[in-house]
Amino acid sequence: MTTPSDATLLNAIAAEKSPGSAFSRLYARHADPVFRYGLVVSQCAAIAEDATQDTFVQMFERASEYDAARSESALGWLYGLLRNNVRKLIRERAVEAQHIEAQGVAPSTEHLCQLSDDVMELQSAISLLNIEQREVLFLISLEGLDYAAASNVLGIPIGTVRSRLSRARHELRATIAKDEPVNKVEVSHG
Amino acid sequence: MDNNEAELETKLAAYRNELNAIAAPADLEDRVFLSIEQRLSASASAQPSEQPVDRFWLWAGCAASIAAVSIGLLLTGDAEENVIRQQADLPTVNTITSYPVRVHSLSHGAQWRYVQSQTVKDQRGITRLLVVNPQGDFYVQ
Repeated sequence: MTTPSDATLLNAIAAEKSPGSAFSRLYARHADPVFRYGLVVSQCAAIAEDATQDTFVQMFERASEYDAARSESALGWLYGLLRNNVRKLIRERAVEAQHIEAQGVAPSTEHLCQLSDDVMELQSAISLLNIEQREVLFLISLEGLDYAAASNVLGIPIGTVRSRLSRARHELRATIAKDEPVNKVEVSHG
Repeated sequence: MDNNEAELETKLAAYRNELNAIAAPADLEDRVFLSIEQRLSASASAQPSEQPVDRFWLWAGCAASIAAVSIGLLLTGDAEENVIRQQADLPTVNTITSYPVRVHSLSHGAQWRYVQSQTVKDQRGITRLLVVNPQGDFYVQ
């Protein structure tokens, strides 16, 4: 039995009046990477959860808009939806944070805290990047998209993708180098 | 690739492995389904109120029993029952659409109004216009 493509499932969803088996299959296929994208980009589990939820609600509502000619996999399309949702939620939370400044709104990082000590150094460095840099880093260096696919998701030229990634990696190297313990002692031989 | 770049690649590979072990929360799918269901039911309940309420129907409904409708045969009696019977008698129901209908009433005189209606064919094969207003009054052209 062949596995139905994303486009086939989205067609079925568009014909459904309420979410059914096609929706569940597509959710099971893409929820984890979509959530991880939200997590890395926002650095906040609560925002990642809400953005993922909004993204799949939109997937149901806008299934008929999906252009299968662009890609067989709907993941890039979902990343694009998620990206907008993350930005919207960050803006909203920033406004909320201003209203409840006394309490403070710290990012909820419980998922990222599951990472081992070995990679926490890199996680800290990633959290210092700006959101545009985290987006390209996730899509290319972590998810393995090529520049063209990342350019489609982000809606920016390939050259901009390249330069953002280059700057992101440069900043990561610099942060890691700065945090490295000094193990080597230079010896002057006079 | 210099040492710094190689070191970053190694760290990214380790980060990627651990990140890929993180799954979306187990209850998130239920939340998504719930959210969609809520939107669907909200949209379904909002639909009738989105239709413009035309004051015309207020007087047209009241006047229907006493007004002469110039477009054809005025049927009276139990409106709902008659609609069901009439539709059952009329086998072919075409697209629901809006037609300009000339309506006479004692209070407002003759007016052309656009009302939701169905074109139907009666048992003799003649196309007629079945007009139903929100009060359940109907008449056939």
